[in-house]
Amino acid sequence: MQKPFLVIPTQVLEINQKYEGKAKIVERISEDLVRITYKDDLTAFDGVKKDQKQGKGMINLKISNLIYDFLKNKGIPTHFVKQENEKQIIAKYVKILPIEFVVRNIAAGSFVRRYGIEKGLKFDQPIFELFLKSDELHDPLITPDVAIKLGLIDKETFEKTRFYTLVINHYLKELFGRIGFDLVDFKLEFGIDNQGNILLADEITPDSIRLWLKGTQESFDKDVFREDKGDVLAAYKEVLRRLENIEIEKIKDPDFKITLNVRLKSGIVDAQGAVVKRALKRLGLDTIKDARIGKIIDLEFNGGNINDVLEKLDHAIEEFLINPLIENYEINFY
Amino acid sequence: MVKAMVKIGVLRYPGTNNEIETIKALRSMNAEAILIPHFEAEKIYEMDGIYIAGGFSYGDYLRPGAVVKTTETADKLKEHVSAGKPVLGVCNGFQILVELNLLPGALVKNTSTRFISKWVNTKIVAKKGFLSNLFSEILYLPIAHYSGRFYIDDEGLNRIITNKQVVLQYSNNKGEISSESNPNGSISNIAGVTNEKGNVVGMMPHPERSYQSFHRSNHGGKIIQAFLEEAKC
Repeated sequence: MQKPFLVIPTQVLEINQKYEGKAKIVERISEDLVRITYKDDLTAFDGVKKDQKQGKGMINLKISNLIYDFLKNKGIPTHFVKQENEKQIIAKYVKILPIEFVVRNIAAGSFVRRYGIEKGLKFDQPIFELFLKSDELHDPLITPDVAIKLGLIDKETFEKTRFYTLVINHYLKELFGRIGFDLVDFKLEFGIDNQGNILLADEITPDSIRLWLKGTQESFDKDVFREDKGDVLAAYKEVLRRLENIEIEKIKDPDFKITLNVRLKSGIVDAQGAVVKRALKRLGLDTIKDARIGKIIDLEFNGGNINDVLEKLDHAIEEFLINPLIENYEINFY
Repeated sequence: MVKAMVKIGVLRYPGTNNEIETIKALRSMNAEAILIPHFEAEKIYEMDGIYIAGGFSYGDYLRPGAVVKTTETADKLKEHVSAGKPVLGVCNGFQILVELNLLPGALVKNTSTRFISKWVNTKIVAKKGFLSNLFSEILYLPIAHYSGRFYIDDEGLNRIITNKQVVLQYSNNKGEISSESNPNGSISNIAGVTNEKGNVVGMMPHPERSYQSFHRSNHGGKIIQAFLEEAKC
């Protein structure tokens, strides 16, 4: 299929090339590394509303670094390498996926407008959404089916990034819950590094998270700026102050589930399937072409470092859970 | 000087059920047969040869033989094999050896979807390894299995044929190998294979059930003898 999108910005950055976004400047400094500069600019509504706040870039960098450091310790692979100075970090060069990954715990923002529901509605389960990264198209909502079939992301990468996103939601909810905020929603970006690893990239700051003071709808994020609700810099500073005084060790890991669908490879006669096929014919399914019987392996985990679990699991799948000579598998994360 | 008896370890996992008859058969041929339960893996080091007995190790859960991969015996067996000492895996023992990648291929459910328990003719086609002295012999042996269909992809089949790793094939009583004499759907009627070195042999038929006068044949005794000869070296 021809790729119909012409408006998706190219994500390839040549060495020594710079890309200036709304809140950051990314400069590729070598084969594997970029320098990211946090700007003091604030923009909203697709860049229609603009302002600058002295010190905002520095605060955001500190907030993002704190959160990234915490997530890294929990086994989430990230692009962060080191901090260079107050406004700049060095990160791994990644090809950013042209999709934004959004999780919502409470209804707010575009979700409220799109579905006509009440702001502040709490969801029993986090809601996961994808948005196409495209300024020209105003970052529209996109379904996984469209994203996969247009080749913006492959199924395996999608499954893994969704899993990471939901794990990050768990951690951020716990993290902000401890310092008196409700995590309303947030946006993540992921990229693929030169070795093919999926890494959390971009930033996690009040520019990309919606935070309400616990039990209220009082914003401590970019909505303060969007909706002219007061001193945006003071709100960001308060988030940072609280984050700096948190006991991170007490935060619990999420429980999660991984499912493997195991199938006998197509070249191998499936004796059970052949019997079932004949039986289905007897039940009147004259057009039955083939029946094959596989197995499902459900694995439940009580926390654990995600990266560690996934690495060990990869090994266990290839070495033990499936026999690659005779079986194929698909993996799903919950 | 009295030569010390050859020491054969008979591996037993939870679910193994052929270990007693295997030990009996080995002792009847003057071997010192020693039971090695899965929790005494280090005993493998003291053995001249290892016989992996049949049955249903770990209930055949996941895939026959698969769970053995996660046990301590797996590493010890691999060391035993790299030292050049012989291993004979029968039935579930064969399944264990392919799962451990000590032998090529895989063993999947019989095409009939039935447990097959009967006597079959087999032909020794071994050109290397400890069965090669029996080359071209037709042996009448019992099989008893549900997942005994030998499978390997085309590339693998070419490789084991080129490397002379096929040692036993299902045949008729004249030694002719055709689909009529294939009891379970195995690729190329393969009933047993060896590794590249020739010191590991796996087979679906049970030689330990075919050596006494009251057995329908005593041909299995020849296989055990060949294995013991190798272990003495």
